[in-house]
This record gives sequence, C-alpha cells and structure tokens, in this order.
Amino acid sequence: MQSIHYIPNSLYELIEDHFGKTIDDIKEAYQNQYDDIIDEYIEYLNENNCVFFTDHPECFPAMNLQWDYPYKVSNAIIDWNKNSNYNIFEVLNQLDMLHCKHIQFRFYDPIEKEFLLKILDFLNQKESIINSLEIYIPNTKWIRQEEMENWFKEHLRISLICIHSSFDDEIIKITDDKIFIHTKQQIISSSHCGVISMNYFSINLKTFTESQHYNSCLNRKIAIDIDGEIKNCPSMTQSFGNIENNTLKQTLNNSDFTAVWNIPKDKVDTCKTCEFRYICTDCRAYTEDPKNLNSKPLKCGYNPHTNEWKDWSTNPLKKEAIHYYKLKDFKQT
Amino acid sequence: MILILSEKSDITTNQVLDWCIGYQTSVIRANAYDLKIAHIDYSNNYILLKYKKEIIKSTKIKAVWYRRARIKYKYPSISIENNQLKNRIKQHLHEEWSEMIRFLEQWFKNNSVPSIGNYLLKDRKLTQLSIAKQNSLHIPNTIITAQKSELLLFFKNCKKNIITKDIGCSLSFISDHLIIDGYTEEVSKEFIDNLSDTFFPSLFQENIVKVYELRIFFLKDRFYSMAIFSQQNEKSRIDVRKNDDEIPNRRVPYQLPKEIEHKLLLTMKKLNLDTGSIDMIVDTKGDYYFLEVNPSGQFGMVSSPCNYYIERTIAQELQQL
Ligand code: SF4
Repeated sequence: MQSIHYIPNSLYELIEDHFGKTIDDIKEAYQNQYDDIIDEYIEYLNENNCVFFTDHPECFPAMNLQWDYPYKVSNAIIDWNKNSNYNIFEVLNQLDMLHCKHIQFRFYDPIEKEFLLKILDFLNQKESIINSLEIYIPNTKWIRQEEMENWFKEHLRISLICIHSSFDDEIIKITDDKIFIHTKQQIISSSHCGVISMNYFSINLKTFTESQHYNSCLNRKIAIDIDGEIKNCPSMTQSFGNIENNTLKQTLNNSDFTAVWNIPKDKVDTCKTCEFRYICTDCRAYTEDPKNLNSKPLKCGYNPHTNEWKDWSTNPLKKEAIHYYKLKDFKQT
Repeated sequence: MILILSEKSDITTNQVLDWCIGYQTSVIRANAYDLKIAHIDYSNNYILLKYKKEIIKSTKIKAVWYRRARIKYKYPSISIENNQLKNRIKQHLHEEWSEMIRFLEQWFKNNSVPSIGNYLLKDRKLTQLSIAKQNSLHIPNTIITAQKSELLLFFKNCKKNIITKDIGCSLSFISDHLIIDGYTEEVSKEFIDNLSDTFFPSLFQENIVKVYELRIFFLKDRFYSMAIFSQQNEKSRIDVRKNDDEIPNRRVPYQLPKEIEHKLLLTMKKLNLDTGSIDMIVDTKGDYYFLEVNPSGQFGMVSSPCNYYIERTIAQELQQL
C-alpha cells in the first residue's frame, strides 16, 4: 500500500514553511500571486490522500522521527564459499548471545544439504532468538522446488530463500513475509552487492526514521566474510580481526567499528540533496571516491539534480572507481 | 527482579521484554501456567513462587507488570462418575486457586511492590461511563433495555441513529467452521421491528457522527493519543476493527486538549487505573465523547503508527519503579 509521490520544490517549501496554516493564509503569504497553482497543489495532495482538512491543527503535532532499537546489533551477514573453514556455529552462538534477530547467509558455492540442515537444527535446538533467516544458495543437484517450499513450514525462521545461478527468474510469495526466489544472476562473491535501485527502496516508517539518524545499510549490522574476517559488511576492505581469535561483542564495543553507523544520507555527498534519501538503501563499500567515506554509492545511477536514472556501470565519470574495485576484487581471489 | 504476567501470544509483551533485556534488567515473563504458588510463609511474610523449575522468593520481586491474563492452574483430572459432583469439585479447586492468586496480588500491594496495571478490580463499560460522566466528560446517550417499546422510543430520540455493543467484553468465538466477533453494529428500524416485545437486556447507544476516533494509551499520568480517520472507509465507519487493508485508515499522532486530558485523568484515578487504552470519538461539533477504557488493552496499534516507542517507555518505567 505504500507509495511515493513526487512534488515540486515550491510545494515542499509551501508545506515546510506554512505547516498548519489555512489555505487562505498560505495564498496571502504569496501575495495571492499563485492562487491557481496553490489550489492545484492542494487538490493533488488531497487526491493522493496525503492531507486532510481540520479546524484544529493544534491537535495534530508533527510526528517525532526518533529511531531506536533495544539491542546493539540487529542484523548480520554471513558469507561462505568453498574455501571457508571458520566455525560458523560459533558465529551463530555469539550472534544469539547478542540478540541479533536477523541473519543473511550467502553461500557462493554449492553446499551439502546436510550442512544447511545442521545449521537450521542448531538454531532450533537452542531456541535461538534469531528469528529471521535469508538464505542465498546456488542452484545445486539436491535442490527440489517442492522440498524447499516445505522448508518454510518446517523451519519457521526462514524468511527468504534465493536460488542464484538458476535457469529462471521467478519470485514466489509463500506468505506475506516469506519469499522464494529464483534468479539467473550468479552471486559468486560479495561484489554483487551495493546496487541502488528503486526496487530496493523501502517505504516505511522504520526505514524513514532510521535513515534520518543512521546509515541505512550498515546501522546495527555485523558481518563475517568468507575468510572469517569480522567487518561492517563483507564487501568492505577493513577487517576488525578474525572470528577465530576475536569476539563479535568486542568488535561491537570498538567505536571505530560503529563509526560508519553514524553516516546518514544527510552526510553523504550528492545523496544529501536527493529526494529518495530516507527510503533509499546505502552502500559504503563501493563508493564513487573510494578514499572518501562520505562519497555517493558507486552503483547508483541516479542524478538528483536532473532527476534521471542512468546505467551506473557505463558512466564514464565512474570509470576510475570501477577500475579500482575490480583490481581489489582480482587481488582477493 | 521484575515480574511480567502475561499470555503466550501477546506480542506487546515480547517487545517490552526486548527493551528490558537490552537495558539488562532482570525480568521473568510468566504466561498463564508458568507460575505456581509453592509455599506461603506466615512467620517471615513471604511467598515462594515456582517459575518453571526455579524457586523465587516474593521479596525478590521489585516490580510487577500485570499485562494480561491471570496465573492459571492445570487442575488434575478427577475420576468420579457423578458428573455433577465432578463439576462442583472442579469449580471448588478453581475457587481455591483464585483465592491464592488474589492473595498473591494483595501481598504485592500490602508490601508496596510498585506495579503497572492491576488485576484486582475491573470496572467495565457501565461503571466507566457513569464515572466519566461524573467527571464532566461527554458520553453518548446510552440505555440498557429488554423492551421493544422502550428501544423504539430511544431510537426516535436519537434521530434514528443508534448502535449496539457488548455490555462486558466483546464476544469472540472461533471454531472450525465459524468465527464470531462481537463488533459494534448499527441498529436499523427493520431490525427493531423484527424483535419480539421483550428480549435479553442489551446495551444501545446513540451513534455519534464522528469526524475521527481517538485511541489513547494512558500510562502513569501520561497520554499517548492517536486519531483514526475511520470515516474514509465504509467498512470501518461503525467499528474500526473492521478496517480493510486496501484503504488503510489514516492514523496520526494526536494532542488532546489539556482540559480533556484533565477530565480523563480524574476518571482514571477514580477507576483506580494507572494504565489503560481509552476509546473516544470527536463529533462534527468538535465535542469529545468518552466510550470506554480497556485496562489491559493493546497499545502497539498506537505506538507504531505514531512512532511513540511506548514499549521502550514501559521497560524504562519498570526499571525505575
Ligand atoms: S543519489 Fe543517493 S539517495 Fe539518491 S538514489 Fe542514489 S544512492 Fe539513493
């Protein structure tokens, strides 16, 4: 039901500066020069159900846009490929103790079915607080559509299964909040991540308020990359130590680690003037200027000044940064 | 240690609990059957409680939140042929157990253990309406009648626009093939005509033509109010619980006039309630009508659309009590 409406800058100004005034007062504030346009604006807002009329504006205070969360960490990404050999169960143990409720597993290479089931059973047996799991796995011999759909019923924690490197592109809605996806896209390393697109916009109060104060991708996030390195996100270069000899709890208490949480879009170049900044996702791993922590996400093709979306990967201005990350990627593998 | 008495399916309790754990407050959440009275010690004035496998001394409990439901007991099965006697024994056990629970609640009170919410008293709609009126809040014209003739007269006096609703709690019944929910319903002339001359005493109320409804969560002298524009949607015009997802009702933060807050405060004091969810409506003239207050009502539906974080406030409150 959520939707976004575009409004001209002058209407924004009208709403901001004349909040709670009568229509007549607003018209007068513009010396009655724009009465027709103002009527048109109000009609537009009314038709789209964005406003209501009242004789008691004093009873309708602006909403407090605070954001808060009970625990230090809310979500985690766990990356795994054929060379990974860190103790994934130990990671889950620690996340459980930190009350981290949401986990995304990204398996880049085929894995044994038994391994995945062992993880699910492990969480089940410890009655873990982890209550939502997203699982990305490549298409493998043992994957059967029906059986996987059944997993949603047997393992209530699973909220999303995405079969990548698949033959097909298909999205199946199991229930309102459970999704089964097939995608042809080959998700074989963390470099697939960070794409900004309207499809990923999240139009709700939680994201809107969180984005006012914190980074809309990394806030309250912790990640383990394929080598067991603890990071803000697997795609980022900086590691805060390996899980084999560091704990997640220690890392979360390190203010260097949480520094990036405090970069809301209002502090990101270009994004700070973008109309999507409070519903957009973010990316601090791939930015236009890799040396500047406040630089715009590289994989965003939107220009807020011209209101145009363009393919980011062919933009000549971004060539240098793309080159930079490719080299990095090459070194890693 | 803080004791939260609730029921298993209550999501609100889970959310408050998250904040408590986040604040590292030590807390036990006891659902219906989780807590037993193990022992009452008169010489040293304490009660031993059994929580799952743990034994807890009542003096260890620093605050109680009576969220929902009472502590229950799974009564043993009774192998007696005589059904009448069997039922009587069951009833007796229930009474015995209720007395113990009442004593526990009373013990917390007598020993000045601070709390939010209350089990001991529960004035319903009828008393609430009269107390609200005594504190000069508007209430809709209301009658309880069993006579068709009286109802017809009331109908005429209310400009042929009346509703009916439950006197106590709303009825909720779910079986395999049937779901009944006791909603507020409009009463038409046709409906009255089809009634027999006398019927089971029922509550009728003038249908106030509302501009919006108010849901007000009250907690220790503070009001968290929300306006619901239910008129946009035909289905929820009479009862907002019938809201549909296609056209969601607008729900926005609301600031009650100070004078209304004051009258509500007096009403809540008189009802001995330190928390509750109050229903009001505002009519086309801008008058505020008190409908009822639910002492253990949900507040999530006010907290999340208005971004109030009431769950966090309750956790903080429990910690500071
Ligand atoms: S410019 Fe920034 S805020 Fe706007 S769409 Fe791109 S990444 Fe999102």
